[in-house]
Amino acid sequence: MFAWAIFVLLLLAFQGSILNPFVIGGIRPDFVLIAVYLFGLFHGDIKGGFIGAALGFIVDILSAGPVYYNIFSKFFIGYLGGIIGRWLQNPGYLLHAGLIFTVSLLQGTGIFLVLMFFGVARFPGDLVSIAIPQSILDGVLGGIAYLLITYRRRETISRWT
Amino acid sequence: MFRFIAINKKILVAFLLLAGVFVLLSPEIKETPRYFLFEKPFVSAINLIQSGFGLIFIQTSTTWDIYADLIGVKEENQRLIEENKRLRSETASLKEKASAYDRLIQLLKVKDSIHVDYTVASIIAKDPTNWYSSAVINKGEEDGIRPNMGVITEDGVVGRIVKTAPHYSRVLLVSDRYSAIAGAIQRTQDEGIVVGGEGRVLMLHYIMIDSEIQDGDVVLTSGMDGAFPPGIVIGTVNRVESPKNALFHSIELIPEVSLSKVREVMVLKTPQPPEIEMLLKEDTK
Repeated sequence: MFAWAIFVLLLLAFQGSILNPFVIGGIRPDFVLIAVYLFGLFHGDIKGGFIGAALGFIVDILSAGPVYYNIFSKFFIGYLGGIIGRWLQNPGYLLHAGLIFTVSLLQGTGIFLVLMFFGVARFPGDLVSIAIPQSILDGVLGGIAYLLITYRRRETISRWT
Repeated sequence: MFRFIAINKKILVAFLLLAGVFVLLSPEIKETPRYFLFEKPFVSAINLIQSGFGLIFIQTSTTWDIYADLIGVKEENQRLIEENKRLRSETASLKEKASAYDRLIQLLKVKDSIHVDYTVASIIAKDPTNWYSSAVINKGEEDGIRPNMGVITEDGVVGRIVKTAPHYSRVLLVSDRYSAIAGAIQRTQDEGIVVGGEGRVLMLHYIMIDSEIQDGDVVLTSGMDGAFPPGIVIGTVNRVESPKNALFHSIELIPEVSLSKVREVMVLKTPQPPEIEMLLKEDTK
């Protein structure tokens, strides 16, 4: 539990850090989204949902957004990760990369709609220059993260059998 | 606990409803100039770790910069000698102009409005999302920082303080969609509002169509917003569009400060409007 708390704190700190080496063209990948999706995938929908809500809440505190939005979006991403984990058997990293791309794009569209409600959205600039590039980056990094986790799990299992 | 919740789906629905109410109330929470009690522990813990990350980054980049600076130092030295000669003659001329300026100021009895007390701070983190442009600095209320204070570098305007904690503050960068700074064109003295534009550009609004603005004009702070004294560079006009029958020009600016690279900033300790001071006092009670 303590190790998890440390991991979460480091993940959240790294997400906004100036040390983040994954920023490409000013676009920052959403590590919290990837972590929540994968957590839901391996630990189930309820755990995924609640961990997602907790991490989303902290992201909202650290962000300058006008509303606590991530608390909801990350809840649903964690929950969805759990459902996908239950329904799909050995789907492969490419499918997960595609799914992470999709949920990231959905999250981006949601933020765009929130900003539209507040009258500060820029169409199509926000979608073309923020939502889509971020989704691609999240999808690629999410696919790699899934590959690494499953590789490590396989290694551990083969060592014990 | 998770098992218990999984069995009782009603609890899940109740959680979602409560979260919904919280989200609906959140614009009120987000607008306050200070972090709420439940926000403070998270902000402090994460900003502390980010300070550590920032320190590592600064140390590494300083070491690299020292190494990089050693390359081609001879040519650089020669160039600097030449530049020094040129600057000496310019300084002599400027000194003369400055003394004339001082004499005129004395004559007019005008207070030098650019002289504002400031504190230097380091940027330790950026906004965790791509949708907003904000940064966290390592100085807060205990260093005399208050919301709505202007943040600048030696090049120009960076943003303004929007939220404060005892040891950290959040800066809303000039490129953010919610940022608005009172600006004026240096050459024509037309006044407008500088807001964040798409990507890394800024937009200057409310410049009347009859203004003779042109590409390359410098836009400075006008001092009308209370956060910045007049005369600080905001950016340079990059593109002017004058649609037919429109009341205002559509003006795009390139910010003077490279916002993605800035690490050290100065917070201008401008006197705060009474309503902000009152809000802060109410919060401490």
